[in-house]
Amino acid sequence: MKIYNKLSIKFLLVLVVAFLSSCSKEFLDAPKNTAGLPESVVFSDREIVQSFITGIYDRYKGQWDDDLTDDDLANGNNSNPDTGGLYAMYFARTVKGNDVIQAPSWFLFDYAHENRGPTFRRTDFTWTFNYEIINYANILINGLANSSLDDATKREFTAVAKAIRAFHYFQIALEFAPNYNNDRTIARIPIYTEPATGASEGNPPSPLSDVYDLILSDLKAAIPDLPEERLGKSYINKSVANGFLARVLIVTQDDWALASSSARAAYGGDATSAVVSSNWGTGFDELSDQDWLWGHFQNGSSETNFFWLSPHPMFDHLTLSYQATYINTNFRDTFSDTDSRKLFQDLYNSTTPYREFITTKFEFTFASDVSLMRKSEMVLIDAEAQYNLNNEPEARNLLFALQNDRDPNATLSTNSGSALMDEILLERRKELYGELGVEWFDAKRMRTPINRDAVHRVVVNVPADSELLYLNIPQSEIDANPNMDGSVNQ
Amino acid sequence: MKVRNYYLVLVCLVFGMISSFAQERTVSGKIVDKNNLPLPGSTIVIKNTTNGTSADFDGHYLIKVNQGETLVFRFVGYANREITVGASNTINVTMQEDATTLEEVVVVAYGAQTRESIVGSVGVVSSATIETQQVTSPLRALQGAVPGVSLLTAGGQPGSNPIIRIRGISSESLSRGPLIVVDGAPFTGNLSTISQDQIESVSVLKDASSSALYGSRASGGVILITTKRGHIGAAPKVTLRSQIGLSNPTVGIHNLAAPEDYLKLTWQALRNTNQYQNGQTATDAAQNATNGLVDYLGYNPYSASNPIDVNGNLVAGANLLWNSDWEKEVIREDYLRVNHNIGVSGGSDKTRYFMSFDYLNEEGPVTPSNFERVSSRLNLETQINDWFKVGLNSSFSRSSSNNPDQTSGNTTQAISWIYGLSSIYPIYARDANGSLIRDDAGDRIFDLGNGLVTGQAVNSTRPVFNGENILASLTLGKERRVRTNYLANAFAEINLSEGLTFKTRLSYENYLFDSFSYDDDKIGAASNVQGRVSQSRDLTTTLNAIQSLNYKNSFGAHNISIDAITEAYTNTQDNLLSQGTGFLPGVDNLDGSTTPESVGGNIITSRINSYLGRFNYNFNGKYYGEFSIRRDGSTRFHEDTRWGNFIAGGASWIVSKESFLSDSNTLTFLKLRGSYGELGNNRTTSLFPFQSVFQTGFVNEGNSGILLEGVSDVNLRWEKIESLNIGVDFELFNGIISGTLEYYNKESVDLILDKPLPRSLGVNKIVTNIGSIKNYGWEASLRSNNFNSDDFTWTTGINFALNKNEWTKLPQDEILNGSKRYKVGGSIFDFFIREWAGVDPADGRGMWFVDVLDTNGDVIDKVTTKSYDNATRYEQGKTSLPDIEGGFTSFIRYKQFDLNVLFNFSFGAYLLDTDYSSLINPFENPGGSAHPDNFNAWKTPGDMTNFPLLLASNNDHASRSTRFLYKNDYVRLKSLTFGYNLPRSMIERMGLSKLRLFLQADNIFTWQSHKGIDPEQAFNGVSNNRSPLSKTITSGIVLEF
Repeated sequence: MKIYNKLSIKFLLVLVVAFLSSCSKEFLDAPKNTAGLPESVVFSDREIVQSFITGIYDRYKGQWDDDLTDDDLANGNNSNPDTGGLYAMYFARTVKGNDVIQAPSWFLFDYAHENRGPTFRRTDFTWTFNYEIINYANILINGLANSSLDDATKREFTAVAKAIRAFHYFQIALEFAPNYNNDRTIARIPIYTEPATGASEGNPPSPLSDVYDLILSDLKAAIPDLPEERLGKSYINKSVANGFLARVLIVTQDDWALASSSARAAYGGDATSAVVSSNWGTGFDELSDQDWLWGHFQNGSSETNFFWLSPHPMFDHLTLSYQATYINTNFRDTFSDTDSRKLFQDLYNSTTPYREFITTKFEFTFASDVSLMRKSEMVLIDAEAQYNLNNEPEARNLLFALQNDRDPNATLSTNSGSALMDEILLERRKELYGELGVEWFDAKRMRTPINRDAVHRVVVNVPADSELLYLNIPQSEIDANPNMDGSVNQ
Repeated sequence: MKVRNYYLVLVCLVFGMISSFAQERTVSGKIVDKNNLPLPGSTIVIKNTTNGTSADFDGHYLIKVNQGETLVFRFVGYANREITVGASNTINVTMQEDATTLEEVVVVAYGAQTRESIVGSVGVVSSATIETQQVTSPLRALQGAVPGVSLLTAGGQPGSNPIIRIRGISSESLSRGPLIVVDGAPFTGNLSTISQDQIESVSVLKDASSSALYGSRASGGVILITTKRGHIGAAPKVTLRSQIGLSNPTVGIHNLAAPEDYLKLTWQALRNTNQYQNGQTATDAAQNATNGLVDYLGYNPYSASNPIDVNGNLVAGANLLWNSDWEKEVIREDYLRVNHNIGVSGGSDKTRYFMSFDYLNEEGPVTPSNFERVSSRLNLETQINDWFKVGLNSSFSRSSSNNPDQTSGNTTQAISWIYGLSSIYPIYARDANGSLIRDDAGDRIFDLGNGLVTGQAVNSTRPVFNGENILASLTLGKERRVRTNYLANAFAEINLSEGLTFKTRLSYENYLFDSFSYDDDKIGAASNVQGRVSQSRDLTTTLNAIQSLNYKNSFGAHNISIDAITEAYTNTQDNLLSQGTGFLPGVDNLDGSTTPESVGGNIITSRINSYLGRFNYNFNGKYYGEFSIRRDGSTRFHEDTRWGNFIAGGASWIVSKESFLSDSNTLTFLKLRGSYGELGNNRTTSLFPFQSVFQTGFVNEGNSGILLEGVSDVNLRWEKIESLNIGVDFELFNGIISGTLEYYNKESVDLILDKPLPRSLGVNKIVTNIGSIKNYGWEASLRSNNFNSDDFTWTTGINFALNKNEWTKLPQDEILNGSKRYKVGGSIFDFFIREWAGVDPADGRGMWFVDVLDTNGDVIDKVTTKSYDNATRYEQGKTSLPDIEGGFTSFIRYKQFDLNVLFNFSFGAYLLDTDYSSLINPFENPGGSAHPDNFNAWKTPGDMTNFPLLLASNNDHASRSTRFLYKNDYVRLKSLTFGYNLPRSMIERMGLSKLRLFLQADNIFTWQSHKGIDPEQAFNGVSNNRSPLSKTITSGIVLEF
């Protein structure tokens, strides 16, 4: 009896423990991935779709690194200020010209025109960054098409996605191919209009004309569906998309009427009021300026990129920062003394020629906003379009609208023909220097050289149509894309 | 029924059974050796039960036993004796020394076995070996001690855990290290929270049959750590150990040019660029270099405004104003290591216990790195009655360390700084004339190189590491890591009936990692925002429950043992981050923040549910067989692919027990064994690697944002490892010489790899099962007892492993991964880089080799090129995997003196020294440190040298090539212990049982083929600005009573 009791006690104990610890199917089904939202959830709600677009704009101004998922790893973050986001691509263009001079600091290789090799950081970044955003645009277009969201939402956000996609294919076409009007058949750029999946393989490069066809069709499709209302000025709306189209058309140079009307749609049609800007002389860091159509936003605390977000930390010599960018004396001399944009000083009194002048156009704080598109630029595009439409008086009037606002002593231009065009191009440099690489962009599309003055730290002259105006295709792409080989860089 | 009611029942049952004790008689006796000396601590166990006791200080024991039962007497180093209880109540036993260690009980997966019965491959390191070393992270004691275990400790931060690889690298992208199991439960915290004195033994399970029971996590091998326990019936023993000593860096770092040399080299680079790149005349080039030098560097450490003349020499009368020896500022010498501990162990006839308390304070080579730890443990086990035993192992540990960055790729990392910023940049701010700038209080100001005085043309803006000063961040900032670990591991064992045992084990681990960073409010990266505090707290909790049923029985010569086990494992990571700015001077806690900057956190759980079975059989202790199976379900894979089966089997044959060998006096023991089985690996970085989700936490203009994190393979499944092991164990002349030889071959199939995708797709990779990789090789260990007498003992041991690694399947012909190319037939370690072809004496340009192809793409010639981009990458036949690595030990005792040494060695591996290459021709980026070797550079046409011309413009001369690939052979005297035990006669008068004085030296000597860098770098053979390890000499004392 005792033995029986003992046995039953023992087995009861075992049963109790076994029961208490028994597992059910739920044990393995319960844990969920709390690291983020699955795609099905994202495209179920307008607000979440909007947050995906917000995420893209954060990526523009972030400290970019090529893998979103490896931030937690020991050596995961490979971000650098010269490849940190959209602003870094623009600043690399800025230092390639004659008007500004870069000290041996960040962007020094871009400045010396020796940064286009297939394994270089610049090349990798510009390619990868733009294609990453293109894939987001494709995910957005595809996700919306397959969602059960209402048609208005689908139309609006599809338009945003197409504008984004067009913008980035335009950047890739500018950065990785010769000028459009030199050789439209050259095939260097693969096109994707579907999101990447695990089964995707690299596409073969398409002719440059196909790339521009896609850019133009995307923009033309997007503009009618885009609203003007937006969450903030760092978001793309109808005006900004019109501005994109105007920029593309001054490269293709085959539809000046549309270039003009797009630019007008962007700046609102009244040049005199459009060019009024509160940013000149106050640090060029305020997105709320009516002149600014689109930019990067920073608030100095929860949204800031610290020392990354060019051009401010590069140009500003009066604040603790890189203090790396100087102004070509000859460029300074093109400004009249009454021009409110003449913000230059000889700060260092240095015997080194290139260090004579700095500009105080940009003031660096952690809250500095960065302009990406301004109405003033659109007015100048309109002027250029009018010139090309053989409407020189209107071109001169538009040019004067800007000149007169910046300099009370400005007089209406009396130039005509190529002299007028040259004046428009000079005005573009004076108005936009430091912002978007205007010299590089104009040299490329106008097929003109960039000749550096002797004052430069590194004197490299870029002949017209030089290969220095585009980058090699990255080696990593060639290695991983079965439809592309090394001959693309020869 | 409610849970509470179950426990009520449980309690009643426990009391109920106490009344059911059987009547027994008491047997006593004395256990002695052949010289009639007592053997205190001998254990006495009733066979086939867990009941037992141990002998006291005089060798006496007392045990309750029934007539006819068999007592088993054990003492380490002596043969077991079994005596059946007859009529007598006194049983005195004389134990015979056993030179073999075959009866040694080895901890294996979910249990313990005698060494003789093991069919797989298990390496054991005992506390005796661990005690001869000073290892803050305990597993560093495995280095050189177990063949086939490769260890690397990257960087000299004290408390750093080693990277451990068992039998090569069996995974590419998943966790490659072993599973760590502490007292039967998987351990997920930080190993440095366990102090070495708590460890009784470490078992390394290397093959499939020994580790298959850990199934899905066993592919990298398994390390079982068993903590100390007391002995049944042993008198309390108190051990005090105290050690104090000094450490120094093991090896120096690369040599660096002082200011004069640095300026001369930079001048030369500028002149060359002017002359050879920009086409200036020689005169202009030199003049412009002289004029532009200070401007290029931004700083001038000399009193002359252009310190280097047109001939590249220092101008007469130029005085050096400062020389910043960053190495000396950042890396210290003669820093302290202090370690004290106290342990108490003992037991009554039913209960045994061990408790310990350990204090450690260790400084590291980089100022102000240190590691301070308090750890304690209490292990308690009690036999409630003849069939019910319970126990609890618990430990608490807290460590706090200053952890200045010294291994990452960041610029303000200690070594990066030394290599990245030359001696011409001052520690403290200087004005344009080079005089110190002082603040209002007259103190010097750290120089940050970002324009302290607006408009100062010289000595103001640095071209590198702008806005930073390492001394400011080391002394004004804080990098504190606090690790708190609590471990509770409870078990109960019920002897259900003869041979049938049920065991339940529940373990809970709570590991809190607190990482605190403070950047100063006035100086450094956060000065613009008045200081920044970033603090994260990562809480990892692990709950593991194991229920097991074991049946053991003998039928004549047939012995069987069967296990059935279930296990449920839950791991939860609960992370929290908070970051804020805007601090008042002297305030560095988050409460003082006026501007919150960032918050973050997530709670994420992973689980494994498992069913296990094992069957052991042996015939007459001569033929052994073992079969095991584990079925694992893991939440890391999709519902459809989450279950996997892992099966293994093995057999062994003790040949020496056969009649034809049993009489041999030469070959006294011979055992052949073999095993084969499958293991898995589920340890992906992401807990949900089959899912791509939209990451949250992005923000733009105050709106929240999300972004998709790439593409995933929903069908992702286990990596499976097929593992074969064949071994032979032998002993000659009764254990004078013994050894083991093993061959293994393990192939990882369904390997999870990052498949690189073309970047134009907008994603960089997909993680999928696409490859196979094989590791195979030989391992050998030999031990010899050279002398063994009362006064003199000398033993030696050597072990080594020869490992090979080979890709057997890949998704595409080749995958380029940094300096390696993955290719079927090649290995994960093979360097695939450009081949340096020397310098063209005509123009000083570096050259590499390039293949010439015919129209079919076949190689027809190999010529040199000066274009790095065009150069061909070649399979070098050189790998970062050593041909041979292992250890050598020797122990000598003469009377009361003893000396123990342990060397570890590695030969045949290659190292791509990017630390060194960063110092060679760094002048394209102004400001970085330079190696004096740069003086060997080409200067004029006709110079024969291997160093190309220096250039201050973009060039590839120091880019990755065989130019910087070095043999990385080394031998390290890892530990040396010299001790003196005071004679027993003397200390007994003091009431002590042991008093030992000793000197201990760790890493004291390193011989290496490539200098300037610690030979322990990384398995991939690429250096990365790591700080050197420490060599430590301490003196110590051990007291026992």
